[in-house]
Amino acid sequence: MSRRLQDALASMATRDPEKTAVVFRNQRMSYGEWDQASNRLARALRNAGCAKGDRVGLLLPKCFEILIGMFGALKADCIYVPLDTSSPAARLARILEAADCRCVLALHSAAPLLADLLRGSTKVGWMDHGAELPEGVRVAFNWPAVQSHSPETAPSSSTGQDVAHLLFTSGTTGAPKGVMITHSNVLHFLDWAVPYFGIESADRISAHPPFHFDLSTFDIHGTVRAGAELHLVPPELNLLPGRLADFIRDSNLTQWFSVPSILTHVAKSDAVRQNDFPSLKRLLWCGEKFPTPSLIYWMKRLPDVEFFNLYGPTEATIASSFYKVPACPSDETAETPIGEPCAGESLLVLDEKLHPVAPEEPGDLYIGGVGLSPGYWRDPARTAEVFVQDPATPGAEGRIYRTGDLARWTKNGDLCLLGRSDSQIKSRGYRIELGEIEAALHSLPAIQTAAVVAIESSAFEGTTICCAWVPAPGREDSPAALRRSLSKLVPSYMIPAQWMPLERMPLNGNGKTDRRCLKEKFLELAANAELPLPRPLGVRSAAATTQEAFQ
Amino acid sequence: MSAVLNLAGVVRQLIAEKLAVEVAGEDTDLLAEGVLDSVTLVQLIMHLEQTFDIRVELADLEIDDLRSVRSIAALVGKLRESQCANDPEFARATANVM
Repeated sequence: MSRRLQDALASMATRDPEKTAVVFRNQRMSYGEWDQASNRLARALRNAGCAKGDRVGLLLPKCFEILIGMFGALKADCIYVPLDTSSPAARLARILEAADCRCVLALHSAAPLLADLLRGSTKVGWMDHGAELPEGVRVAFNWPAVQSHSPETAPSSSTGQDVAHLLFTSGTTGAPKGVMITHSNVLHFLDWAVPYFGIESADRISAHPPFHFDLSTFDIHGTVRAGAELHLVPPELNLLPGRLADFIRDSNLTQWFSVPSILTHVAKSDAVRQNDFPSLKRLLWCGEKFPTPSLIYWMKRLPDVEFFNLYGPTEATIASSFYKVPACPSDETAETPIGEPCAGESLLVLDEKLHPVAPEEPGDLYIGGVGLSPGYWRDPARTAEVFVQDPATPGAEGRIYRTGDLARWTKNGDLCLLGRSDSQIKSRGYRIELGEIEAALHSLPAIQTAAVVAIESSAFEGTTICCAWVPAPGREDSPAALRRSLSKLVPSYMIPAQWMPLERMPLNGNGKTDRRCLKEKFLELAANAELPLPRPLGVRSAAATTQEAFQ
Repeated sequence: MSAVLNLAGVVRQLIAEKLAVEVAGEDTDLLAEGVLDSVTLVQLIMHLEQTFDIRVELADLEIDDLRSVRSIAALVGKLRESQCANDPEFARATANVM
């Protein structure tokens, strides 16, 4: 039988059941407890009618229960679907409908969502240890029922080729799309990453990204593979750099992995002391460009830590390339390459005819190899659009994924990103299709037409989402009112920060929205100091500077 | 009491105008509602600094300082008191509150 993700948990539970696997808010879960709870849950899921390949939704925040839910689903030969509990009910409903879950696991914190979401046939596995299930929701089992099952491993027939989880990402037409990830997609990445980074059982690994995020796959399954300790970062610490730094220090983390925006946030408030975090061995980021001034801050503060840039879309599983930063950059404008392919993966820069381009020439970035997803869940048309055949390599080996990123090879053989060939953006690490926001805006009665553009505010800030709209006749809704309506349709990270009412939408020669003109209008607004863009590192607001002068 | 209530009103208005977010009430949980994230927080701090002529050190903040409009107003009041002790008008206005 080929390897599966759950095998590493079972093997650790046999080898060292007492060892701490997960730490969260001063509580610990051992490998033995995790494995046994997952075995019990797998039996409860089977009992509730979950068969091989059925989807199990995880409507759970970052906590022990979601980790038990993941492995319980896998041990029941099911596919787990992590859901964003902070997403609005309308969006979650579309994802749940698309995933067609047999069962959804939930805790008390998701109770308000359940009433809106689960009126249909989907049953709830109630994981809450105390609170009662809300009325009107069909229950498959509750926590005491899970506990009544045997902690022994249930018989299983899944293989490494089966889909392990679905991860939903923003879609251009407004409907999120589900990326299928197999056991072997993840295991191949771990085969490279765990030895490359030297992850071992003494490691204490951060779990910073939310669990519906691709990056968390590495945190969770990498920890289990190495028999290490996973430290769940409480989400509210994201706001406060000082508290986040305390957390890294007090937890004695040895590995940190996140999107760059939180690292920039910490850098801006100068929350890292010189030679801080003595246990920290490596710092990894992925998901978007790490602004070089912020990287320089971190590397100067932590001269003994190794810094790695990882790159790769969800469709190619966690990451497909890596770059170890050799030394602290001296030039703030220097870009960090995305490096070279991880073992078993390939990166290709191709022209429109899928022919390779010469070094220093821009082209479309394609990925091939062991990380490639089988495609989008129940969407063969969209799958065929972006998973294509490399004409240079016949057969299954030549299957490649068009990332939508533009890139060039440098003369040194490193790959550098140049931007996007479409309207997908990254904001705080979130992958966002501007089309999804526009589709939601157009569904609002207050709006006749709207367009969304993304502005790269400066080297230091990420991306600011800006919305220009023409009100529907007779409507004069404020940005705050529009924002409130929009927040019922899309997650908060997709909501535009800037709003500009227009009498008419500017059009270009082809009669399409003139996005360049819109961007210029927003930049003008910013230049007039009306845009509340965060200040760059070391620059205080005028008021603060005046204050300092008096002190 | 009036100074704190006023501050809370101004903070709420600031959030509505500058962040384009209408907060339901002064005790609404801004973190649970997703009003504040790392980007909007930095924007809010900038506006608080400009409006109230104070300096807010991000590194010194506690989660509970940011929980609601009321707690942010209390933070502003505290910072005004410690940083603007020489401002007689403000000292008078806050004397019966703090």
